[in-house]
Amino acid sequence: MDLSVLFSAQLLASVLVLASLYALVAIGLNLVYGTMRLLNVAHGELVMLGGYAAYWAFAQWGISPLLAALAGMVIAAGIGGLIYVAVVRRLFRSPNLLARIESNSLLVFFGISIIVQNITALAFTANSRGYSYLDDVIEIGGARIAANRLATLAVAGATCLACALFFRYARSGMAMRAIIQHRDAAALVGIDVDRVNVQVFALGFALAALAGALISMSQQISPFMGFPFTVSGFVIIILGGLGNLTGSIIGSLILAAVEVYGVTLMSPSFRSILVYGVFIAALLLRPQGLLGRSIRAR
Amino acid sequence: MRRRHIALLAAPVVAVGLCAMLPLMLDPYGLGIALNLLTWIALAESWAMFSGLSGYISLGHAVFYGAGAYVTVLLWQVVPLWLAIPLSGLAAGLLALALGWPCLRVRGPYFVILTLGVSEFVKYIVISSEAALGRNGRLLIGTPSLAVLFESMLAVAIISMIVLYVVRSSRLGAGLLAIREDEVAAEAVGVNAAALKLVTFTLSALIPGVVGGLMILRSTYFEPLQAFNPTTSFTIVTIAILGGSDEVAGPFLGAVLLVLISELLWVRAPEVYMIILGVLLIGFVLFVPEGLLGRAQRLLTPAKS
Amino acid sequence: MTLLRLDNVGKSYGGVVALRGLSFAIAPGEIVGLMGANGAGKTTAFSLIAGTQRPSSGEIWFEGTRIDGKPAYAAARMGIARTFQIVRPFGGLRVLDNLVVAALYGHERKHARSVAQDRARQILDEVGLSRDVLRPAATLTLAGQKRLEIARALATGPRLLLLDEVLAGLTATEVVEALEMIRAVHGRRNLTLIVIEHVMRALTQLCGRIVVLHHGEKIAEGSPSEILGDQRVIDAYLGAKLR
Repeated sequence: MDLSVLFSAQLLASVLVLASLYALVAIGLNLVYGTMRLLNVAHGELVMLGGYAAYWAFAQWGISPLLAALAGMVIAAGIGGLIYVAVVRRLFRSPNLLARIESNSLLVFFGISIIVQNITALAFTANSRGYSYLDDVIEIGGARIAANRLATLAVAGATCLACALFFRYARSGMAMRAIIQHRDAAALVGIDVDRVNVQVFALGFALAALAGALISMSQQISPFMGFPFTVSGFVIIILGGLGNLTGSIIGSLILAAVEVYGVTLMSPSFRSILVYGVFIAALLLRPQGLLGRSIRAR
Repeated sequence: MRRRHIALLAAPVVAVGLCAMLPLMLDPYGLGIALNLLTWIALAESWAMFSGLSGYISLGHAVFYGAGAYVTVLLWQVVPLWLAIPLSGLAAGLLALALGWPCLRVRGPYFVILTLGVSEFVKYIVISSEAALGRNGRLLIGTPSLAVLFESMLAVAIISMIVLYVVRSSRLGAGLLAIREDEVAAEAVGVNAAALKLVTFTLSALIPGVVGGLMILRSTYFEPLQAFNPTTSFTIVTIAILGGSDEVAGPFLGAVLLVLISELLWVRAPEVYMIILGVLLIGFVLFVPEGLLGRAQRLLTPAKS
Repeated sequence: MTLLRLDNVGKSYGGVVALRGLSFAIAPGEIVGLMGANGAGKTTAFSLIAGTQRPSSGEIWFEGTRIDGKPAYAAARMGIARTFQIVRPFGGLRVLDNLVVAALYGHERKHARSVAQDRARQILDEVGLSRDVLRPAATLTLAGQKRLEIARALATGPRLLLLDEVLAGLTATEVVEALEMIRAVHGRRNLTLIVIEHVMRALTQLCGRIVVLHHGEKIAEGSPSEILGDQRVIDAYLGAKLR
């Protein structure tokens, strides 16, 4: 195998596109975990929903996925807020449930993901769907890349930058970072933790939906495509460190590189094995990444 | 005293005897439902032995079911069935030993998502290896009759309930319950948490392996996506949450409820069935965390302060 | 004859040194106090002895066997029991069952549940919890949970018992009762105690000997009156001479 292929601009472009998508997913997951210590295993389903929203808008009304993405984000934010208020908040407020909140929240999110997957399968059937948008291939610096993937990179990259600025300068963003660093102290200095939690869910879900809409331009979607994104998201936040948003970006690059190069070296059918294998390895080798801050709910 | 003992034993023995005669009384469709019920009972009771008692929730128990199915298929007509089925259980146990050794070191909720990932990982490995062997699903011809499978599953379900009962009232059970409450404190009083978890995890995989083997004989067609279907894991957990995972009667109740629901809905709309299960799971976690059994117990003993 | 010996024991977490060069020995039957400001390294010393953590350097010997690095359950099985500074009861289990587990798995490993239950009831009687035997441990008051913590440690049948600030948060009357109970428990058994306390009166009344830690190092060791008069101890911890 000619190893110089590995250094082609082609693969690099693929890595960047994938990394930008992963970053969107990971930031949302990291936010929820960082602020509330909850492992949202339903996160990938929001990616899937974003994809379906874009597909539907395009298939029904010919609306550009890039525009539909905006609507998708708003809807996802609403879903996120709703899930927090209707479900997650109950877990925090009942002392019984709070005592085993880690297990309880996992079961709840697991249930949510099953519900979302099956509602989608009911509405759209379990078959995969796709559409073509911005299919034409562009050449940049020796890499041939589809316009939609370029758009993906541009939009996702810009969004990540916007997030970085948000966390740095916006009050809500700073509040989120404060809570991630020290939840009790944040409450003590007057941050309305409950309100920020709602915003965290809304933002996290919106980012995931955006990723889904972008993915739908270049890939087929199906009701059960979400879980691998959840898994990748966890890998990234383990690698990058909890609550560490820059770490998420770096982790996204690493994971995207491992995936793209791994698949090139082996074969596409090994992709799932690679994704889950990395996930298992990350959890076994670096559980400290998530364990560093343990909570004792008493 | 002895007469009371005999009377107490008589009821379950009679019940079992009646069940054993079901193949004579039910048509194949009804018998199939009864078989499914026994399957879920066996799976949920075994799951509860580990996850219910220790608090380490395994969301990937389907991996043992699938492994058992795979081994039975591989040993089909290589080894007589009365040997193949127990070997499938053993294989699942060995898999649990191999997986548990690294995985049980991971703390609580991370163990839970790890089990999700491990189950999918093994699934894709089996898919790849089957593809590499050029196999696109495997067909079994000449499998035992439904009645034979039913009687076997009846025995397995009964064993699973006895095992849970024995473990729960044993020293092992006391240690597991302590681990569930506070693993660090348990270690401080002499509980070797790592060893107990691994032993129980392995034990809890044996029966699912056997069940997987028996059920593949029923469906006669092995396909990794089906055998390692995460829906199986999800259903097991939902049963335990619905019925209660603490005592023998809990998973039993949950399985009965589940089969009732599934019979009403499955044939018409499988997706609706899954959605309802999901809603039930969430609803029970939030409002009836102790399961139906726990709630019934609470209602029946108001005198406790 | 030494029951427990620490030889130049040290513990660091990354850059922070929690303990440095700690050495002392304890004879069977003693009640030894461990004293010092918060962060002086007292609970760290307990964690190292009980096996919850392993020392970065040095050796710990118990009854002639080296135990540094042995995991917590192994230390418990050898006869070292401890209470936790912030109580860790098995909240969902009944008070009785909290002790039954300890009796089944601890140093005096009882193998029959009925024997373990008898032992548990006996100890619960001793510590004054016999009325609460069947209640879930989580429903006890703090004072009750502290007694439970001690009772559970006792249920393992230890040779060495580490008590970590068991008097913290108790009212004056509760302190007096607790001290009586501890003395009685000690007197009735072949037991050695190491006690971490901030309540000075308790330390001086209970302990035959006190070890004083400051910033991870031992700065003094001796009888209560010697310690109270020791200038280094006064400067580091007491602030002024206690009468």
